[in-house]
Amino acid sequence: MSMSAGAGKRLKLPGSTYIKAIAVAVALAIITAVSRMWGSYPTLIAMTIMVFYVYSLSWSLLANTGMVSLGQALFFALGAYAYGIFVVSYGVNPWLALFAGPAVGALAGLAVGFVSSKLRDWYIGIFTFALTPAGYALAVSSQLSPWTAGAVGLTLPAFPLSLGARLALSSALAFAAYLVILLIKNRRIGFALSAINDDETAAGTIGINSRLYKTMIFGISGYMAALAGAMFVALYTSYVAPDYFGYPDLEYSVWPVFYSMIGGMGYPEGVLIGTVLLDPLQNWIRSSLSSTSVVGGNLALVIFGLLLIVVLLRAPKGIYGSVARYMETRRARQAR
Amino acid sequence: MAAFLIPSYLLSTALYGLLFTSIYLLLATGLTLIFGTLKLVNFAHGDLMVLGAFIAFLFVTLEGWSPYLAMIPAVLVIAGFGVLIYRFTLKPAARTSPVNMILITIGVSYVLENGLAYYFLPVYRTGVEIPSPLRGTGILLPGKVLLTYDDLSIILISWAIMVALYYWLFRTNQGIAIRALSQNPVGASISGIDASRLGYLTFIVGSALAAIAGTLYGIAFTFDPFTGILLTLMAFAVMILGGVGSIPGTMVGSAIIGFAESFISYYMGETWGEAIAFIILALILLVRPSGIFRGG
Repeated sequence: MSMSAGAGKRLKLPGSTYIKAIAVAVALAIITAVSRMWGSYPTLIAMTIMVFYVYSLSWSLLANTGMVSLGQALFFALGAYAYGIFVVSYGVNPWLALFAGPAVGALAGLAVGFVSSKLRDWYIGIFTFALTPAGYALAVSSQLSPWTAGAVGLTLPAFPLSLGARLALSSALAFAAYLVILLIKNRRIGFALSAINDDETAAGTIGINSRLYKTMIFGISGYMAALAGAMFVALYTSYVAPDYFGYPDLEYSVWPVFYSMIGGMGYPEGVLIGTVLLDPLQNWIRSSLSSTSVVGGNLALVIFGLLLIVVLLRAPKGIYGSVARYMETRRARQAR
Repeated sequence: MAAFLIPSYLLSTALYGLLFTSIYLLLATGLTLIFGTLKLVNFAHGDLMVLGAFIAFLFVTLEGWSPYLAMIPAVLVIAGFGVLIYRFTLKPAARTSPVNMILITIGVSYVLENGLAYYFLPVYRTGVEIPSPLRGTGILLPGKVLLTYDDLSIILISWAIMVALYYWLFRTNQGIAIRALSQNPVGASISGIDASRLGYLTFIVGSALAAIAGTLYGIAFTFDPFTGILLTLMAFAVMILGGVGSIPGTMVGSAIIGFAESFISYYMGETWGEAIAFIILALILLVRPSGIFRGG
């Protein structure tokens, strides 16, 4: 935990993409190694960190383009269900299902993105938010229950890997997701997206097709969120439940928001810091409060909600953004 | 005859539709008033409503008040809550980006919901309904359909409040000032309208409408701490369907959503009844994002 926070401080100074990427790789490797040596419970927690890092990156990819998805759990749950149905109903190889299942999320992302690209800021939030009850209704509907097992949820066979290997796989996937974000950022599509985010009309006049790029980015984000969902059920829970759709409890839609916003939405490294700090924290609060009361989890969420409000009001750029700004002012002062 | 054509079923389902319509109308009007005037998107609106219902519930069960009387403390407390939320979260957030504002109201909603759950779940376990002394009594309509006095008073109270609100907005100076503020904030300020004071007033009225809607909802239906999300979404569906900021649009929108919900719930099951509002919402965003009546 402290390693990655320290890395975050150091890597801002040279500002090079390669150094940041190496620091993230080292941080992920350290989390993997330390939790593996620590025991099996920390290994499981580290696995949720990896899953939620991928998931939070998928959310912040959209948010950085000015599109706030409040129903990101739709893609997460679609990935989880796609994996589960492929494996259970059709007997697909788990490895194939892990990567092919999220294609369903990508398709849903393209469809949602096609509609969203025409909508203004908060309409996108409402639209994506409103899709989650429909997803939930589909998952529990009697027509689809032969595949989804309805409200009971789908129990999955174990993934053919040991616990340590599953953690290694998930941290490799987390790093791959980070690299995808970097690639997007430094390519034509990334520049186009940041131009669209700054001024959509101006971007249009210089020939940027904002509808195309926004739809594409939704597709990519849909795949990443669905991959996180598939990783979550394949490597961690071995169980798919309808509440992964973030409905009736929003939980699965708001965790990526919490992690990204508190860590630092605009920076993939900041999202890592947010996830690494907050995911074990929420697990810890939840387990320590749940032993005393049935509603300990709810109290944990109250604490996170308050934390989010305070961060948004006091430090809108999150932990990473605030630290980076502090470092820059100090450097500027020293230079003078 | 097919089951769905039996007149008495149609009548009772239509009554439910009217009940939903009346409650959604109050809720969405509060939301559209706040959005139209202050340009604030409040995702905690439905949670304020559930909190109002719960306060009324406490006054009825612990103090033995009539549910219709218990609406008054609910309105007062929620209006106060609304002021606090507006003063300490939304007003400062309005100066930052729209993304931040949306996320802050999500945070507020999360705090309210889980705070309520923390208090509520150990005591009540399942959803509750506000007990009413009038329960089970009513007017027998043709086809042995019972229109309970509760349902009747819910419908009458909602529409009476809508009439009063309409009078306030269109016939009093205060209401006209609020409408001026929603049409042109700068022009309104120049002509001497105190935007900050009216901002608070709008938020108070919007929250009070949510509390009334909540109490009425609690009399007719069961609710639990997490009902708020669904109701927020319903209110947004109504608001967008009707056209943001337009009160006649909100009336049409709530009628469409209310009747669609009751008929689909009856024929396809409750989960689809809830989902239909969002399917309608998705379609309207696809076809005509400004809603039926183009609002402010």
